[in-house]
Amino acid sequence: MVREVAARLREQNLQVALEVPFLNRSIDLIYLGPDGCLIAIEFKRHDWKRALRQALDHTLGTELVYVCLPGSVVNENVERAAKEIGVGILVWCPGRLPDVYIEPAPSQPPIPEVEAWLRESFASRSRDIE
Amino acid sequence: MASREFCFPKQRYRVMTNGEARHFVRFGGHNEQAYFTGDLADTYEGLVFNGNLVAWSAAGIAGFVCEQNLVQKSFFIDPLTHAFQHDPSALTHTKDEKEEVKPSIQRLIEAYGDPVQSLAGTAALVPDDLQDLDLCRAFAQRVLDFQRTKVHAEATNTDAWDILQFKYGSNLHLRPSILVPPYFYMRKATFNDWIEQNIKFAQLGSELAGDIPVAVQIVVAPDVVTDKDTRNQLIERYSELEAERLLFWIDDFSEHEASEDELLCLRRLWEGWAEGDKLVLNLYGGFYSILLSKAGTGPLAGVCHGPQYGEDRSVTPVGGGLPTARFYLFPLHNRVRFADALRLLRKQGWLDSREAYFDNVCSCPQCRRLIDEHGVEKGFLMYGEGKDVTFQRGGTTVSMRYPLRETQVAATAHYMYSKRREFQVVASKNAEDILEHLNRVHSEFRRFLGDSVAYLGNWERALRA
Repeated sequence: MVREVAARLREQNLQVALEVPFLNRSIDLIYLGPDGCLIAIEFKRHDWKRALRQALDHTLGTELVYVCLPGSVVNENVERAAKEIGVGILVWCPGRLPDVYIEPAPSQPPIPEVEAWLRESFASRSRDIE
Repeated sequence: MASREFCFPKQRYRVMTNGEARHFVRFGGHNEQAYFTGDLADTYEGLVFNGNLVAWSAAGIAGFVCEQNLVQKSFFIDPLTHAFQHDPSALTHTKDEKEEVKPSIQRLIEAYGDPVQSLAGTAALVPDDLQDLDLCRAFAQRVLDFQRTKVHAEATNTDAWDILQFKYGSNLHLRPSILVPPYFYMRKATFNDWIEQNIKFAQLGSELAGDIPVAVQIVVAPDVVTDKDTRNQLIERYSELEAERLLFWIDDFSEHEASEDELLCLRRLWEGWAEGDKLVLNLYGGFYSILLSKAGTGPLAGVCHGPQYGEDRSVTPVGGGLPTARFYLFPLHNRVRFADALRLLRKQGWLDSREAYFDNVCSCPQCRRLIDEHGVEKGFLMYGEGKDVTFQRGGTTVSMRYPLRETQVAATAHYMYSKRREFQVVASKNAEDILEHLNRVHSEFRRFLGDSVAYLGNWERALRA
């Protein structure tokens, strides 16, 4: 899932990095949006709870955090849990970019210094892949 | 029954206060010296050294204990005799494509002699190897003599020795405050095999120790504690010993992950010994143990831990692994992932002002230093500073963020201050207030942290039972 989404984002000339280190975890995929925002995506095939737990940490560094799940996994429980922590949901669509199910709505902005850590790691990982 | 202090010979120049809990920290290696000296020397009362570390770097240990602000501290040496009963490959490493006994263990073996010398690295020590009483007596003597003399002998060779003698008198003798006879690990399945050996060596220890008190070490698997029969045997057999002091280690037992029943069994074991007038030190304990060391209320006479790690430990440790950024959150009495601590502090508003942080999180010298220098939010973030490390894993390039050395030092200093504060709080508050506080904290934080704080409820119930 991760690599396919990364490839499709790069086709749109977006800067992408995989496995970006952040606060003792690594974020599956981050890309740089046209407005300079970092968008973080955590991918899971089944364990949506774990995806949300991991995504929760990512909200310390960026406002735009999603979990990407197969459509069969997404239900109202997942939606409720995601909304509670301000994380968005993407639905995996083979062959194209995921659909947005809900947008992220964080209750607090990222901490500037922590966001700086994330940008530094993103820049470094982007260079690794190139 | 009132607890008694875990006291030490007067020649250590310390004035003991009756009823004061004894707070020990285990020294893991010379790279940890910063956590034990300078301002942090006042955060603990006694030191524990592993036998192999003393054997390998006795001069370094001697130099360390001769530090001006450490020379009056009590210390003792864990002889680690249990190491010889496990898989012999745990004592070896590969060098030049050959399996050799690790150098520090080799030095220990040379000090101890047989029966371990002829077996180490090739075969595990079993109870049958310990049937000859003369052999056991000689072995016990060498184990005790090693502890008694090694550090002092090296200390007399240090540059600081003359100055120390001038300051403290010619009677200065850097001896351990207690001696630990050989001991072996017991699981429920092997209990009957090893209990007799352990009791025998405990008795030999009392016979051979001379003027230094003996402390008998007991290392057990959790199933020995939770099983009523073996627990009662431990109480009965060790209560009969001449030695007053017991050092206790329960294998791989986290007070934060244990069930209420397990915690209660542990308490009953310690109470059984305390009622037999034994002074019990938990070698790897956290806040639950500190609570149980409250003078006049709890059965423990002392608690030991490592600098940040070491509130629990496996008998056969799985070493290695890369460090992660953790912060000891005093209100929770637990080391938590830095990210979790950061989210919690933000949510509670504890990063909004210095007062909010100092009142609710910590006002230790380390936290104050960081906040005075950087402000509240940036100061706290210093506990999470890291660097990206990239490596190959299974053919894939992996990057992880790991704490800087300065981050680890800061977090450990904060931890040491926090542990001192825990002992002080337990000593100064009454037991009921402490238990109500645990209940309050549990109720407050379970909404945010869920079951990860369930231990607070388990502790309260196990203490009230």
